[in-house]
Amino acid sequence: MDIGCDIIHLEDHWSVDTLRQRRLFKLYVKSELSLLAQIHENPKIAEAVLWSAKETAYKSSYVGIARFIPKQFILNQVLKDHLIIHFKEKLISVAYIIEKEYVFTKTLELAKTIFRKGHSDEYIHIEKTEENESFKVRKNACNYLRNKYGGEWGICKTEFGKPYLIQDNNVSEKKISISHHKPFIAFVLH
Amino acid sequence: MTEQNIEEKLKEIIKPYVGDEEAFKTLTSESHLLTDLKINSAHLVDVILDAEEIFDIEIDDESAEKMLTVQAALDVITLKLNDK
Repeated sequence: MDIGCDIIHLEDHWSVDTLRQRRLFKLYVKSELSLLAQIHENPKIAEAVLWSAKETAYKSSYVGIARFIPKQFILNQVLKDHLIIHFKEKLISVAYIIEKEYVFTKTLELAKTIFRKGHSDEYIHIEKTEENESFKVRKNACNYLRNKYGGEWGICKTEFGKPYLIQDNNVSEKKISISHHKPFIAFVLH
Repeated sequence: MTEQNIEEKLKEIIKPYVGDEEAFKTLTSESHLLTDLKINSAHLVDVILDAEEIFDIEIDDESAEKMLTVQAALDVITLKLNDK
C-alpha cells in the first residue's frame, strides 16, 4: 500500500448542497451514512472528513486509470482521530484533522510501519497560497528534500497520474502524496 | 435532442465546477473532467446530479464511473436518453 493524503477547503466544498439526499446516496452506502454522526456533530464537517478519507484511501490503494468509484471505498469504523476504510480485501487507516478552513486526511499504515522500526521520516506540509499549486508543491517538497538529504530532487507522475520522486535523476524510494484544493496545498513525504 | 444540443447543455452543466477556465475555453471531446478541467472530485457528483435533472435521466453508479471525459459523459447521457 502506498501513502495518500487529501485536503478539502471547506468553503468551496460547501458551495453546493453537500448534504442533498441524492448527492449523499451517489457517494456513500447506507452503512456509512449511519456512521457520519460518530465522526463529528456537525454533519457538513463529518461529510467533508468522510469524503476526504475516501480520497486518501483511493490515492493509497488504487492503481490504474482514474475512476470515480467512491462506493468501493467504504467507511468501516470510526475511531478517535482516524477512520478505517475498507477497499476490496484491505483495511486502510486514515487519520484526520479538522481546522476552521480545511479538513486534512492522510494514511496511517506506512507511518505505523516506520514507527515500529524506531524512526519516523514523515513530513507533512499544509499551506494556504495564491500561487500556482503545482509550482508551490514542487518548490516546497524539493527544497525540503534537498535540505534534508542533499542532491537534486524532482517530482514526476506515472502514466496514471500518481506522483513519485526523483533524486539526482534516479527514482527515489521515498514516497510523496499531493493534494490541492484552492487556496490550500498539502503534501506528505515518507 | 441533437448531439449538438446535448453537448451545449453538458458544457453549461460543467462550467460552474471548472477549476481551469483556460482549459474550458479550449475544451475538446477528449478533455478529462478531473485532470484537464480541474473539476474537484467532490464536485464530479454534482455534474452527474445536474445532468440527471436537466436531461431527466437516471445515471447509475456503473455509468457514473465512466463519465470522466467530455466524450464519455456525452456517450452516457446519449445512451440514457435513447433508453427513455
